[in-house]
Amino acid sequence: MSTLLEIKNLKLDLMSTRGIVHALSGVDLRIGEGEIHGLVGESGCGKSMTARSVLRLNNAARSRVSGEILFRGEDILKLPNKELRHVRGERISLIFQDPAASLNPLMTIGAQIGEVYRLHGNCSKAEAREKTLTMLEKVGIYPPEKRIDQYPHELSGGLQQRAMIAIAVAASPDLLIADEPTTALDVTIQAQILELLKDLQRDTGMSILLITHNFGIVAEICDRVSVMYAGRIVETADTRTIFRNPGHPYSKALIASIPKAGGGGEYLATIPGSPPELYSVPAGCPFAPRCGNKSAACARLPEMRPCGDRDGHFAACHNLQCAKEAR
Amino acid sequence: MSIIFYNTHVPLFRKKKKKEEGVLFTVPMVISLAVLAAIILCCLFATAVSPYSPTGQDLKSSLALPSAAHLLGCDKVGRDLLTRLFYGGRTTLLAALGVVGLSVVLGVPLGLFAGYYGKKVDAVIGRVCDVLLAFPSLLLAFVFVAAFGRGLSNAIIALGIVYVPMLTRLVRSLTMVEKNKTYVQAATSIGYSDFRIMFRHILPNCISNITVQITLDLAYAILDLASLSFLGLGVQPPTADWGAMLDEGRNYLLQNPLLALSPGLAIVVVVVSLNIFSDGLHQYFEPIQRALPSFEKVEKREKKRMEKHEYAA
Amino acid sequence: MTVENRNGLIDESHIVLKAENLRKYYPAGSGGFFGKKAQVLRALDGVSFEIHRGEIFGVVGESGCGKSTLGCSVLRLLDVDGGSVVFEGTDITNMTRKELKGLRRDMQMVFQNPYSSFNPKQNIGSALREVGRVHGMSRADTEKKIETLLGYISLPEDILTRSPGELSGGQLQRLAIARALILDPKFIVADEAVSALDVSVQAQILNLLVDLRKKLSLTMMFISHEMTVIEHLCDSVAVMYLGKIVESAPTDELFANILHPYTQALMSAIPKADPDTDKKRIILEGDVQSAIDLPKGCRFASRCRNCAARCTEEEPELRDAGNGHFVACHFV
Repeated sequence: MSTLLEIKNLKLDLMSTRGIVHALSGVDLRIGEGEIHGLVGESGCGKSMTARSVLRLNNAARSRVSGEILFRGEDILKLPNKELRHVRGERISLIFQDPAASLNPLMTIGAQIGEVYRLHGNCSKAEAREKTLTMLEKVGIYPPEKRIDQYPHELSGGLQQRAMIAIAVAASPDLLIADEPTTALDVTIQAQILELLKDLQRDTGMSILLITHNFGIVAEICDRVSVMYAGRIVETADTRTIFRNPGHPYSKALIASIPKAGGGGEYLATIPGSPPELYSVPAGCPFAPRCGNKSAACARLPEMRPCGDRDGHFAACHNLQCAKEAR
Repeated sequence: MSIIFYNTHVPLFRKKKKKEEGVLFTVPMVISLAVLAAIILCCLFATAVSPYSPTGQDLKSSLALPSAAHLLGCDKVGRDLLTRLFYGGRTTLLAALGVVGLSVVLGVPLGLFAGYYGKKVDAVIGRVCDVLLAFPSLLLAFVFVAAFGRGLSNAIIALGIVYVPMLTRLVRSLTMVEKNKTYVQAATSIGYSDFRIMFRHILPNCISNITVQITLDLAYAILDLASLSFLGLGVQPPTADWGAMLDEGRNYLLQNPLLALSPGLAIVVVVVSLNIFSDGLHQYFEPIQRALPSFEKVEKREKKRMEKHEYAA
Repeated sequence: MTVENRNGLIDESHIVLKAENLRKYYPAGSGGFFGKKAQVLRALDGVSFEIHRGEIFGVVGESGCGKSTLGCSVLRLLDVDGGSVVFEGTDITNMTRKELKGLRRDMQMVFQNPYSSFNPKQNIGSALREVGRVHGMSRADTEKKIETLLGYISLPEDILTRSPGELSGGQLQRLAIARALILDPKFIVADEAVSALDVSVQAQILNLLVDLRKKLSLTMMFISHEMTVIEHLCDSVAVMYLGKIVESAPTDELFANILHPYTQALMSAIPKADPDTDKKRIILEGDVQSAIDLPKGCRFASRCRNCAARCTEEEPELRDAGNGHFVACHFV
């Protein structure tokens, strides 16, 4: 599978009212063509920041970026603004968590979707409207003729999210970044949206970078997964492997702390301590203070190394715990 | 210790409280504060700063132009202008503080009640405020002074009442926002009384916004008091006051323009400084808008701190 | 490490809370001026249940089903429009605020968002001590109680000097639980208490609740939209949809034998954290309706895959399906 997006050693520092936050400390990520890649982690680990950095959406006055983001070989971080505008929305799109806050309340959803066609596709107003109607049907907003002239507040949460997805895929991007797209939605609606994303991916062959903290969603639709902790990727593998044979202690512990069916009243496995505040970059492994399995080597920052059981399974740990043979 | 949670050596949070970043003292703030401080100090310590009396007449120096003896000249009855400026400033500034103080004492509780109880209480307080707001502030002050007589204290009371609605409105909307927050619901569910919730929980969260408004109100009060005195309804002679001085001074613009210019300029400078200061405060209190230092500066500071630690260790 | 059989901790003879036919309506939409009929949002439309001492009663449903309204109504943080709430034998449905003040000690709430549960301008110690002071506890007693509770929630003494902005969600939620326990309440409502937390922190809080329940025989109503959490923690469950309970049963019974089509769809919609599960799912058509314009008959009819003519005519009642399992559906 050829590589669509490759992030190399991405570092991001942000200036906040409490000092410099080292939001990302060297993120390495690779997304292939047509792949649904999950980015998992808890709050504060930097997954949303990674998404925003790919499209250079950070406030330039308060952030400092270094590293490379190669999209089909071109470094996005070095693109001039004019070309960046062609990447945003046209080749890479982003959908956010809260659709109500992300849609313009003063424009009809038809206008917002049509705008994409007119700007990125150079269509006339009439053509854009036609294409919008087709798109509304494609994402499951019924009836299209009625909904096209409605405002976001007239739509339910699920429909709003579908509208946002429509805006994002209107220009047929190669990569869709979905930042917690279903967190604000009810479970039954969430299921619909995930089905929609799967269908769209199948039809258009685009790649999806799905950011979530919910391992269930990962198991549902992702092909590959990367786990983030304290601004770094700590493990990356295909979905089955992450669940069956996680290499990094953090991934293991995280999966173990999910309440499972039939558990009933037992104590859940927890991870002692809490994630580090990112005001300073720790010298060694960031997970070491909480790890049940540390050794003297952990004072040195571990690199991503192959786990040996399967191709494409890497974890950043000195004391890899996974079984050596593929299961 | 509990088997469920921790290894006890795991650090939970930063041991010492971290100082917040963010530049309170940006250039505009520093300048405005410096100007205000200078003026306030001069006015407060007028007796020490100036050898003259503000009311002592010296007809020989009537309408004297600026000289070494009298830096700004003298007015019609020979009183030193600079001295009267300082004493006048004291009167004006203290009176403005009185106006704002009165409006806070009346307006803040009214706003809290209106926002918290809503419905009927809000309706009543709202209508009263609407009536007060419908009148231009000076006009209402006229009515009051006409009814109760001239004099500085009446002017202060009149203006204080006139300023209540603006403050009440602000506090009311702040209260309505805070009231829906979880901590207020939690306080209700624990069984705290309404008064406790309003004054000990909601009010502290509104203080920063109120402070910004009060600073602006001080500026308005100075202007309004000056206007009242200008029209002869505030301070009575021979007390010095910037507005009254403006009124006197306009008759003698040809002989000594400074008689009118200096109190006028003093008013402008103080009002503008207060506005800039209030703006800076507002920006500081809104973390998103706050001016932050550059990366290099913070990193340099951190480095120094680390070196000091290593040195000490 | 397992706990004792869940049901062994429950005192069946002692009913802590009994709700009967609770109704709560909100006015919605404009009425009157142009002759349009005033619309009513039926947040709660006849909800009845019992909670016994030592029981953790789960209420599950999606947004708009009325579960949060139920939590507030049961604690009388709202006025109800119909039905009754009986707490420890006393009918509190129509009590005034003054009368309720005495009872506030015995019923407490833990809220969803830990970050906004505490006054940002008050430090934790002050917030906790205030609880004791307002309810007449002596200073010494309050201090002792706080110390004990800090031990239960595994947080050190110096957390009392911190302000809420400096602490994490997990720490704050633990403190919120401690705050609810200062007065030794008989009943606690946890409104989505773990929903805003990360998975590993959620696990810590759930363990804490299991632990506290053993130590203090807590009686609790646990409201959530996550079935997995409810299954893990609760003794019995009620599933709500648009203001009514559509299914209720002891937890083990419910999850072994889900009867109502809505509950089935809800369970099926949850993404399982296991890549090898059978991916066939029941996907509901359409959106959750609003509780304003309710159609005649069963509320779930428009989205139900088993819908028949009878469903749009007659509203199903909660019927006993054996084993303490109640369902509101014509076809069960």
